[in-house]
Amino acid sequence: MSPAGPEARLLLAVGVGFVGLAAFPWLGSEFYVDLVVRLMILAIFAMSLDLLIGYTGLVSFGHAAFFGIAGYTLAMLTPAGAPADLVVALPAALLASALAAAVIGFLSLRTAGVGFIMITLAFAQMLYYFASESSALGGSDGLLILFRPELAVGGRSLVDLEDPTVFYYLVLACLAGVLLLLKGLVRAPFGRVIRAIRIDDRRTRALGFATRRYKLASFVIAGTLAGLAGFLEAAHGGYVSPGHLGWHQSGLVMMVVILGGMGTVYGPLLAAFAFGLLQDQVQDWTAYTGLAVGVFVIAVVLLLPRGLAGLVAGRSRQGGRLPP
Amino acid sequence: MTGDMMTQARTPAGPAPPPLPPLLAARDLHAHYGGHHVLQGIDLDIAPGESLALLGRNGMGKTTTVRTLIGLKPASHGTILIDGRSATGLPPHRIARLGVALVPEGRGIFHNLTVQENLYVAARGGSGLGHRWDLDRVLALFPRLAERLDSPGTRLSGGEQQMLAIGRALMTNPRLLLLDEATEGLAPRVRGEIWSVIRTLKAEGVATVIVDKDLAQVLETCDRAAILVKGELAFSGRAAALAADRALQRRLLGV
Repeated sequence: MSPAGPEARLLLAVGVGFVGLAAFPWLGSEFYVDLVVRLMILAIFAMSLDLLIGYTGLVSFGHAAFFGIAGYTLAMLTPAGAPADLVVALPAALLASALAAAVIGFLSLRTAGVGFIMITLAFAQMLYYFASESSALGGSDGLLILFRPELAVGGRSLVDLEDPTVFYYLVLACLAGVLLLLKGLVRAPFGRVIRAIRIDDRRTRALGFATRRYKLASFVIAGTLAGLAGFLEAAHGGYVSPGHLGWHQSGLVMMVVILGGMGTVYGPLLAAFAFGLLQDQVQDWTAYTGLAVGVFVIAVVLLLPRGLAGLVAGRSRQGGRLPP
Repeated sequence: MTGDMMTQARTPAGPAPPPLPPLLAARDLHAHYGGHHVLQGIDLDIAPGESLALLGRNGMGKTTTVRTLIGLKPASHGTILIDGRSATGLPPHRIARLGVALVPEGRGIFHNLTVQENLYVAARGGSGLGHRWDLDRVLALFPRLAERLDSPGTRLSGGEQQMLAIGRALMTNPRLLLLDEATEGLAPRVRGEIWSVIRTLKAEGVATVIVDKDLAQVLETCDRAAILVKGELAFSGRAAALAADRALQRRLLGV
């Protein structure tokens, strides 16, 4: 690959972006630091869905289920009047999301195409209505998380997530970690198989792969990473509600993936920021925020078939094809 | 159909019966597509290292036979034995792991993978044959692919895609290679290259089932031939015998 190839340009853009993000808490106002935290969390959520839609060819319309489950797990593990222990709460939240993904994936992967879209939506909506009706889960009001989890040894707090700067860097570290993990995964032998499955499931089976197991593994990994995003979101916002599980949330994250460019990982990361910052700007100009953002989404889909990632990568001799 | 040919269909004719137990034996295979009874009781034996030409006019069930052998189209009736053990009803990934590989009609390259990834994704050891196929050996067989390792699968010519499809199947280290229309739509010179590779594989002891329209080449290459007519075997015997019998070719193949 030549130094000016699409890969290099993307790496440069992402590298500059991360340097900017690392410096941002010193530069930006408190409001924008808070906004960027939310956008980084949305980016983690969207990158996790890209593993399913962009690489495995599984269009899940219920991805918010795993996002919300991790948030509810954190709320349940936060005692009244004290923070939860990060070392317990984070693994527990990820495990809860992973288990839910294993069960929902196991059942949903018996279908394909539109059936898969509908059944994943149905599972997420089941959880949405369950949370809305359950008094233990706070019904439609959800649950408050009054204290962010803390990492304490012998009563001394080591990592205080109540400090916005500390929380910011935790989320940034998670964002970088998830990006590297997903990029590594899709280029590993496992990644080659799921990318082959996306093109032709039967042909991949004829090469000797039990494709359903690979799809389930991908579904569980994506669900667990969505759980990481949901955990951070609940800790950041201080509450979790049925809205975290619902189809609005699943639809939003799917839109971010499509906007960014499926099967790139970088794309959904860029799109989360483009989408969030645009929404923030438009609020100052017009009351019709949704309308303006909608026009932007339509324009991107019509004009940039490879999403925002394609815009950054530009044209190349390989017809602008992006590496995995 | 004459009684004479039925006898031939039941017992593979030849100078001598295969010395080894069959690698693959299919008995009374039936397959349906919706209401269509596409295969109506096929018997096939493939000995280790043997090559079989599967012939017939369009729509006679050649591709269905190949797909049934690797489990992509489950047989509605009949049995398949691999190494004498039942493989009937096994899913394709299990049959593939028993040493059967398919080069599908239309090549079926994974276009989102590079040439190298297309090969690596299939890589698997343990064929039971002496040689092991790996990236270096496949590239030695198809030097043209070596120049294009980082190209996406789609940016290859038709011939290169076909080479990639064969190379990918070899990376699974198969004992039986199913080639469905491996030379279709290729320039004559490229076809020649593909045939020469098929003969190399045969010399290395890889058994093959070849579906191809180039009757002269396929009969010259293969040990035995079988002709499908409306889902039944109308001929099964030595390829050389069929090559010599113009009348039979005309009657069953219309050539």
